[in-house]
Amino acid sequence: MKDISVPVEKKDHRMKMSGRAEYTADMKLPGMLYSSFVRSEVPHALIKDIKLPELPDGYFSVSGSDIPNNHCACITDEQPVFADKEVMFVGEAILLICGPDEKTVKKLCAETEVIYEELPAVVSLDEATEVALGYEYHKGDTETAFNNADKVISETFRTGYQEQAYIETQSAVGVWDKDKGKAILYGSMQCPYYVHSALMHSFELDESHVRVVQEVTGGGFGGKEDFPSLLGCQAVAAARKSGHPVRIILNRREDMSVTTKRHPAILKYDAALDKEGHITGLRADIRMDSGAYPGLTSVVMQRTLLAALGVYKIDNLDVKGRAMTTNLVNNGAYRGFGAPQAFFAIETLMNHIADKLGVSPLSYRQMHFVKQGDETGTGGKFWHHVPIPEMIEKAEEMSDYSRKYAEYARPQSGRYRKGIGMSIFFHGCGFTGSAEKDFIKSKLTLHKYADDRVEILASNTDMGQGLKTTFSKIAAKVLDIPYEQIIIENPDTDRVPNSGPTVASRSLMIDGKLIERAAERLKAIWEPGKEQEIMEQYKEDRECVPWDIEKFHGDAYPTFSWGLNVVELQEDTLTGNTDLLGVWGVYDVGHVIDERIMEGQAQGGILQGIGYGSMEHMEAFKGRIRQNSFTDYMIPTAMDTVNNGIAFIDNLYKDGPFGAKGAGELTLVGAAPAYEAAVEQASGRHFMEIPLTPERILLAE
Amino acid sequence: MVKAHYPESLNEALTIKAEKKDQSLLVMGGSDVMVVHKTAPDVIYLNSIAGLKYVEQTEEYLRIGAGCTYAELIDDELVPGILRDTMREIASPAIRNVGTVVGNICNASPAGDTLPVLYAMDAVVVAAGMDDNGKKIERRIPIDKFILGVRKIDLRENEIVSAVEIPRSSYEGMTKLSHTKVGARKAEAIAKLSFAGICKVENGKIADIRIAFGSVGITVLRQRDIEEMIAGTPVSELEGKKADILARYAEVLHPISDQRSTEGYRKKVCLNLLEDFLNNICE
Ligand SMILES: Cc1cc2nc3c(=O)[nH]c(=O)nc-3n(C[C@H](O)[C@H](O)[C@H](O)COP(=O)(O)OP(=O)(O)OC[C@H]3O[C@@H](n4cnc5c(N)ncnc54)[C@H](O)[C@@H]3O)c2cc1C
Repeated sequence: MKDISVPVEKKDHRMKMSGRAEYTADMKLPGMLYSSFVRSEVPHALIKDIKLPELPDGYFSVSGSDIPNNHCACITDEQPVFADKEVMFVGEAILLICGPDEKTVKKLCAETEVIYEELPAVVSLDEATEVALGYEYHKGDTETAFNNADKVISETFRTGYQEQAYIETQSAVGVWDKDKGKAILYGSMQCPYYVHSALMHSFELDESHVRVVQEVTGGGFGGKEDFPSLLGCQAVAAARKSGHPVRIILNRREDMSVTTKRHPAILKYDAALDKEGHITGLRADIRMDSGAYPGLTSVVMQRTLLAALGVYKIDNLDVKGRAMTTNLVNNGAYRGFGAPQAFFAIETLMNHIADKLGVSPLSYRQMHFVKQGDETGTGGKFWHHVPIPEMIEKAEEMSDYSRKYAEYARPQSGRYRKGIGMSIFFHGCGFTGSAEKDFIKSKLTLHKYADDRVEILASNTDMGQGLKTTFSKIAAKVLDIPYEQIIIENPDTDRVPNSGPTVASRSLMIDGKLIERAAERLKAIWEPGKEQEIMEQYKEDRECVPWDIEKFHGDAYPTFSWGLNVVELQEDTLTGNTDLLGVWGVYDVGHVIDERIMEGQAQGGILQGIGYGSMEHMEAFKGRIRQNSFTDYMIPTAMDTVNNGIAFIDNLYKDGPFGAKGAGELTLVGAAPAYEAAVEQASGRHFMEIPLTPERILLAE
Repeated sequence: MVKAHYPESLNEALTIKAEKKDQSLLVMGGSDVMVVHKTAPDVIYLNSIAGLKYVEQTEEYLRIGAGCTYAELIDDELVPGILRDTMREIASPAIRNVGTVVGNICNASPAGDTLPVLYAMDAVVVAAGMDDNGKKIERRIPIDKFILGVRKIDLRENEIVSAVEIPRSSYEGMTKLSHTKVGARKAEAIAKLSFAGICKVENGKIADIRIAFGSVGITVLRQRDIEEMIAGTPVSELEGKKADILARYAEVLHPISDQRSTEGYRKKVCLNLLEDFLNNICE
């Protein structure tokens, strides 16, 4: 086989291109019922009464009282599967009505009247006072750094919601096997075993009485990390009550209104500078909107705090984060998982300080870059090569950044003004902290059939990102058999061991490595024509400073992926609209396992990042998500960008398969600050908030 | 039950319409009808009428048949450049392959992209109907009288719009024709606001000027009183009058804040675009 990077046909290519792929919405089980939700119309209230219309035969109303344990497990279990006494946000599920005719089900929902006793509601992060959770860490002596500072620069940044905007809305089909007392769930999801645990928890079942099957999944981007657990419990509750399979498919407006989004944040920074302008101390105080229930917020916030000082070596640090409870929709996972907020703030802060000192943003960064061997903010270590110098060199070659920066820094006139911006960032690979070792303990199996085809049995999901293909390539390459001889199906928890969720850019690096090892072992015992099986389990034997979550100290990640973005644009001074003139990304993902897949990840990630920084404006207005359709929530189209220039730098990581590291999220993380920097140069103004819409650029909010 | 009709001629369509009246729904490209899930007992598909697909010129008018899609008009050199440019920015190729100017007019959305240009050109809507004796009759209604409000048009229950007419004098001989759509992205975006300006400079004077704004009110805003005040001004004196003109428009522009933009932005950009138009009136 050729170099593993050489693209192959994706495992799901023909099935999807021919339209044969069957999604959850295509499932038709005998007797299956349709369903629709009755959802909260108010941000915070006691439910005094629910007046149901008379339900025709064969129609059921499902509520929290139909669930043995009406709590949905997702890190904690505060959130009820169905609100029973109190609603905490607009759109919270109260009832699910199901029955054989979809229109009737919708009509019955519309006719249901919920009597509320409204309570005071917190409908913005600014007014939130209740701390859901928080972390902090300190390093060195910040007080002295600030006392001795030549200059202190303080800035407060704000970031907004971001919606994952997967093409396939959330969907699930629940089945209750009455004879076995077993819950079965089919659906669109990233993490079958999360759904599995949630069903065990809510229905008080043991492992063997829950089965979860991932269907073809039309995009996730983090949005299908935790939410499918809730939907899964709702679907199974309905199936258990009605005795029929029950299908739930959210419509687009519903999906955009009630599912988790990227956490809006307010990030307050103070930087102490010495005479030469070096940052000698940094204070970051970060507030995030957790929404009504914390869900994944704790882990998201950990990543935000770990990214708070960017790619810079700063010896004195006070970093503090608090997630605030609001009466708004829950926030959760979205590609980048807390890091985009922090990188936006720190990268923009670096630009602003450079500007105030009258030096170029790049040369100012160069005074602070971390390098291999340096300590991390939390007392861990950058164990591996930090390829920032090569990345800058490559970016200069591709984009001509420094020359253009100098050119656009001269006074400009006329309707259109140009600017160019750069951002440099990392993404901590895999789960934050010690979760891989203490909590996930990933296991997977290679099963060789008598015909010598080999099946990968793992719980990782392909949601379009290409994991089936890259996993198969690794196995095929190590086994030295044709790629076509590898089988990989959508995971079914009755068949596959728990190799963890498909999140945190972990699957390829962590589980891909297990496949590599398993394949090496299988190869050693390979007997043609014989059925054979190898099980491999995660073990940690690398050198590290152990992570301590209580102290927020140690190595939070086994290694880092690195990225650099350059954005060049022109601003229309009459409208505040921008035209992208050039977009570049240089990435170190260890080693690229498939060039075409990685190119897709990079192209999509950058554009999502630019969307986050520019046009993806979403706000809660009186507790209600206002932009809840693709007409009003703007994600960039191909027309909005140019042919983005992408390059990868090899920096092999020994604990990843063929040297590969986490890659999926990295590509999104740095685009917003690069975009903002370019707008700032074009407009000659500093901005503190994203999305940087034309309304904000023209100061006409 | 819904009955679908595929008339092959305008007369056939008018006969059905005269019979079914407000129990029927007219569909041209369907790109507006589709998204609002509108339906009726009788649905009349007009896009099967070949006779409505034409662009022709009379001495006075350019006449665009109701069946012409954006894609067809964009490629038609008889259609004024400013209108073709406007249509190029609508939606995406798929919608431009089915959507029509007449559909855009009859949909009467405040954000209809062709409307500011059509208002500036004094376009006339041709409504055809069948009287009780089976005789075809036509009403010709200026666009600003035809569109009455959001999704409200002056169309009778037996009528179908058969064409739109644009006075040739509204673009031929004009010295500057300018249109800007301001959307949140470059494709598939509903306008936050739009601007159309047309004028004729003759012998150093502004002989004719038309200014229209879209998405800033329930219908397109065109102030003939201010236009009349500007008309006749020597170009050399325009600079001196500019502040007054902008102030007058500032007084009548009352956009709203909604999920797509803000009042402040809409107003500011409208005035920016107007000022830019006035600054470059001789270009
Ligand atoms: C994805 C998408 C993007 C869009 N983007 C834009 C955009 O950028 N800019 C924009 O302006 N619009 C946009 N639209 C709206 C729509 O495409 C346009 O308004 C288009 O011009 C409608 O034309 P149509 O022929 O499809 O109208 P239809 O949907 O067929 O009809 C529209 C209305 O007019 C009535 N009607 C149609 N023909 C006649 C007739 N001959 N006589 C009387 N009444 C009639 C119908 O009953 C209906 O009420 C978009 C729509 C979609 C779905």
